[in-house]
Amino acid sequence: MCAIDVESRFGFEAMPSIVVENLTLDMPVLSLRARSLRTIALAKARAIGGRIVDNGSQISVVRALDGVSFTLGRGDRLGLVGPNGAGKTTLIRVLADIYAPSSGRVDRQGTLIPMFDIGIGFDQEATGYENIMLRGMMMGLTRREIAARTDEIAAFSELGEYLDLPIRTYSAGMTLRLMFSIATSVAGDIILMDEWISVGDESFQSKAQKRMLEITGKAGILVIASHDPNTLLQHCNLGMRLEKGCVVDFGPIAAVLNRPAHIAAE
Amino acid sequence: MASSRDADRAVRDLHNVVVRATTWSSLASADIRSKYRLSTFGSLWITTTTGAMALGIGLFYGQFFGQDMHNYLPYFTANIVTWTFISSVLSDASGSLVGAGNLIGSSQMPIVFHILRMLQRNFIIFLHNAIVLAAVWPFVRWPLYSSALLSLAGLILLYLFLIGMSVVVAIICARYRDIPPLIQVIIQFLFFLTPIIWYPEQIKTGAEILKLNPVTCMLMIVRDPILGRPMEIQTWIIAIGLSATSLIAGSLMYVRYRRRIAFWV
Repeated sequence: MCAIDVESRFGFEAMPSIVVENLTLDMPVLSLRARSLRTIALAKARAIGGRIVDNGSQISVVRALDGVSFTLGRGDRLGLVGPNGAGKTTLIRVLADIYAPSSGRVDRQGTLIPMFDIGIGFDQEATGYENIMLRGMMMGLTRREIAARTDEIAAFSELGEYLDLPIRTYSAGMTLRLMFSIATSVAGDIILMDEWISVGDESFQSKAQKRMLEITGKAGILVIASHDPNTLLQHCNLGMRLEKGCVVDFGPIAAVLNRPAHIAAE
Repeated sequence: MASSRDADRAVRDLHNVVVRATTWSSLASADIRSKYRLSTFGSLWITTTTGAMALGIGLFYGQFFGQDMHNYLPYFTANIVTWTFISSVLSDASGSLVGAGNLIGSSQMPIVFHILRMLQRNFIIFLHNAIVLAAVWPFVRWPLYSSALLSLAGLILLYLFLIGMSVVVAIICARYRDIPPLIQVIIQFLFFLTPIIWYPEQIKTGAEILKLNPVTCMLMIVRDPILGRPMEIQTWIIAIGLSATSLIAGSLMYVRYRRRIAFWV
């Protein structure tokens, strides 16, 4: 299904919740060899010879998440911490239904607002308005729904007449402002974020910050991966430390942040 | 490996192909608009390109080989327009999922939408190219019967056939990167194996083998009615069978492999 379930977008009937049980995710890493037909054919040919030297078509697997379990309910704001490659982004993507778990269970109640990679799908040649339509459709909105919120998006972005120009002509900051305004134009129960989003010059930044607080405040659940302890302390009540795909610490955010990784692991 | 939940998800995606058809078709129109944005004639350039080709080959080929121009020109034009649609869909399908890798990894859009967006984009190009056939008519004035409308039915069948085929091709190509060049080879081969520049009547022996080429059949149901060429009911039955098979194969493939696509691209 697309990002937004039309019926339940405005009425928050269901209690938002995320239940993750023993989630394991093996990511196939297709090497150059595994992807080529020749290696598969060779492997077959060798097998015919009676002696398998190297099966060649091996697919290596990276266990990106290993036995992750947790439960979140209304009001929970979870901060994910851990070094690069610990599985934070992968976990966010599993929660966003992009990666299917290899084993285990992920149950999610509530409408989902993924707020990562908000700049993907934009067309440099198209105007600001056309990009609002384009990106809106990718977020799962219908044309009418997008049209209804276009004015609001335009006003928030403060881009004015620039919205009639191709976004190729925008400065980096202006493009980000448009992306932000579109991404934050929808409300939902569960917000997933990879790093806290902050955009624009000083005046826009405070406005953006205000809106982020408003949106995350309204949402039932927030899951955010970040390397910035201050952001996490400010916005989260729970913390989870991931290391090599395993949960090494889970609890109140301040405690998780204060406990160094090696102690938490014990 | 694939749990029933994953299968449900894939089935829901396929359901959305119909329910949310405006999404992928609007995205396709946006692609075309974007491509020709800065040019004065815009998407009419598509028509011009094909027009030049039809005119050139149609006229000269006919001259050299002593074909009757009144028959050959519309025949060749209808063929090349339809063939371009088929071949560019198959060739674009091979890169459609890999090309949408960024979006697949970050958005909730059903993965199959990326394939349909590509298909619809090529269909819009086909519609532009079809203008060439209309432009040829005043010069040649081949008789148009009411049965020409059957070409629309043929077109629908072809579209359905290509939906299934492009899903199959796109998924295989996402997994095995040797397949996209192979697809090009197959397309090249099919071009000569399909009655595009030659008439099926010209074949003296082995006409039966010709019928094994599914593209021939799908091409015939689109072009023969509008050109007023005689058709056998058998061709339609085969075409319906091919479309159904292709759709079923595409759906099964999608339901089976949907969960893995995000890892492949």
